[in-house]
Amino acid sequence: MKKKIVLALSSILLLSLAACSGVTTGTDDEQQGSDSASESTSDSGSSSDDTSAGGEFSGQTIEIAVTYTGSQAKAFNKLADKFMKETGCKVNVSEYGDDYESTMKTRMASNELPDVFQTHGWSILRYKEYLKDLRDEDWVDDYDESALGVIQDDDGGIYALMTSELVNGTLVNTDVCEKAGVDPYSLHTWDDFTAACEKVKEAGFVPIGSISNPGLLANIAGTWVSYEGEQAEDSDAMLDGTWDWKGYKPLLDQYADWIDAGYFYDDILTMKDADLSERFASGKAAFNIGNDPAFLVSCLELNPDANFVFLPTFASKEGGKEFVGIGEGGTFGIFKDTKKEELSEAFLAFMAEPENALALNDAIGGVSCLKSSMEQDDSYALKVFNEMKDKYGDTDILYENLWDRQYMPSGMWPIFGNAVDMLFDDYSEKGVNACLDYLKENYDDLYEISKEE
Amino acid sequence: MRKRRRRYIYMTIPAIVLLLAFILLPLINAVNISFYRWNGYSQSRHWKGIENYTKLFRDKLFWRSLANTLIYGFGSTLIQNIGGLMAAIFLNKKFKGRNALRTILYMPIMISPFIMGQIMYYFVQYQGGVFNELLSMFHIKSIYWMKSGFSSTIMVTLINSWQYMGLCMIIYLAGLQNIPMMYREAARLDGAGKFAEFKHIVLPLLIPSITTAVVTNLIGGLKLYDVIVALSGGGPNRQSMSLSYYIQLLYFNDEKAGYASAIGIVTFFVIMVITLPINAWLRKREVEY
Repeated sequence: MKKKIVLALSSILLLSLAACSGVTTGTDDEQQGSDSASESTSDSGSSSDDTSAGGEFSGQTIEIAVTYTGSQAKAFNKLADKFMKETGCKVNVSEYGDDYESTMKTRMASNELPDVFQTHGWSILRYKEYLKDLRDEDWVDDYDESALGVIQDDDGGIYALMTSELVNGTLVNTDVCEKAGVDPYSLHTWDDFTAACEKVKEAGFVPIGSISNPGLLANIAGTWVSYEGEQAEDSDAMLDGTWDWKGYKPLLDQYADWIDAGYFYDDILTMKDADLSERFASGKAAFNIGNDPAFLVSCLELNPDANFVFLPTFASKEGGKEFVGIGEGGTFGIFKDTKKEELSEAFLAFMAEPENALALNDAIGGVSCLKSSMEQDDSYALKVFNEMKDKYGDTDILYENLWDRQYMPSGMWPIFGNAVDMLFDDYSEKGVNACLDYLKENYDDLYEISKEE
Repeated sequence: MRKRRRRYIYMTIPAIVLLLAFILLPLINAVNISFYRWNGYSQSRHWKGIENYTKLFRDKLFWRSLANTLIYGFGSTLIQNIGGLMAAIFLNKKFKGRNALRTILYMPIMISPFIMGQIMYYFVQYQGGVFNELLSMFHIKSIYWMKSGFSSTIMVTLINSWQYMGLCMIIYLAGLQNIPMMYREAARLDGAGKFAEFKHIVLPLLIPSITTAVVTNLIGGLKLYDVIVALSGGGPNRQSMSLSYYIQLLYFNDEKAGYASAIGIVTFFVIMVITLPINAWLRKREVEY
């Protein structure tokens, strides 16, 4: 308590002094760790003069925009330094952090994008028209089959290098489950999950340690409305724009029941990502649904002794498909109008090298999807993923692109975010229907636009 | 004479160019965008006429954000001005440590509102927040300070008011120090008490300072953004958003740039309609001395 007050007061004092001193920003690691946007020449230890001394691309500069902050940014900057030393070029890394999407949208509107940028799950739906088709690059042959399902469009175009894929499912704090007497590997349906939640709650923990976010509605939706054997199989209607969303209501009803039963944090609508990691790492909650092991990597930084496992997203009923969503992990595309095409391609080739891909994947908690690096991948994310596969040996798990990328028109992701906020705010029958109407209205609107385009 | 006039005109050119580039052209562009359905980044747009404007009358979140914006604007202005004036009157007296106290009260302004929001979040957060930890020391149950849209709005208003109270204090201090002592002494000689002196001498002569402080605070409050983002994120369920935050979310998060622009245009007129009459009313009450 005392510490918190001292920390808060010290922060106020330090920030005041910083505001008075007018210090200009540098490129040290602490600044790279900041959430706010910063542009740094990645040259820890080597000046730009050193890098321009020789090499294939001596004197050239590229801009690379990333979402990374903290330890992830640190790892990426190390790789950028290495690339500069190898090629003699200069790399400006733009770390936009939380502002990444807003900044990229502004830059897309003006058609002035960085030479290389992260596509963070949207290489096809959002960024495709701004990206160079990379299907002829050497590293394309190195892609694992599972990656192509995510990264390749219907015409065979590939618009990004994906060093790792993101596996999406259910994250479990086994320390909490053990105390509550729950065997996570015995869970296969949402009914099993609900029963486990009740046990966790009785043991004094929060059953579902998630923050209100679009993934709660989008990432688990397929196991209710799309896949074989589930409560509804409406995929065709979703894709041809005739879906009436009635099949989606049981999922919202299930959420309403969970909220009513007190399975979520009381302050779910105002808590922040940092609270979520801290609470999950410290064993306050048992499950985190619709998420990927990158979250566990950040939790382990806070509490290295914590124990976690990864499970698929559960089926909506017996005989339904349990599902692991595959999405873009560490993914970089090249702006189609870049003036540094060769250098940008060289950077992607550099990142595709196993040593570099693994260094990045390890930092961001992604699972390698280039065959050359898969053989050497000993990352935490792959470890928990493989553990899940071993434990579910007999279960027929569906591995597919994330549900919204597969079946929803572009622009629905934030709509799911707003809808889940609405649901947590009012989970009565009226609230559930309002949420459903909101989803349908926006789906119809966005579908119409996607067809016009 | 004509030469001098021409020189003056030339001197206004940089200001006019900046005004055109950063105010007028974006405004015209925003008006243009407001007639389209556009996701904010695609190279194609869809003409929707005045649909974005008619839609906002049915949009509950727009009205909620408008109400919040008025609370932020008028609430902050009221608290900051009353608090700032009281502090200024107190700190206009001579006592030991006066300058240190002035500095302390002014210090929060030097922190970016976003950082202030982040810091204050650790005070008001439900689990482990400083306020709730203090309550728990007295065995009082934790309070979810941002449970509803209204309570979040109040928290944001209080924090914003506290942060900018120092600005009002400085404006009023300057105003108080500019009031010639002879008027106050004359009032005292005529037998005026402290309250009568304040009401009939100090307050009328402070009107220019009040105009500056009120209009500055009001515009600041109506444009409130950073502290909301950092403290409540507009939540719960977007119930504590200001219009400027709603515009940002619509544009960048919801990918409804056309609708966001329409609300932006309406917000522009709302601020004009509110601030211009208040400014004119206050100016009428200014007295010469």
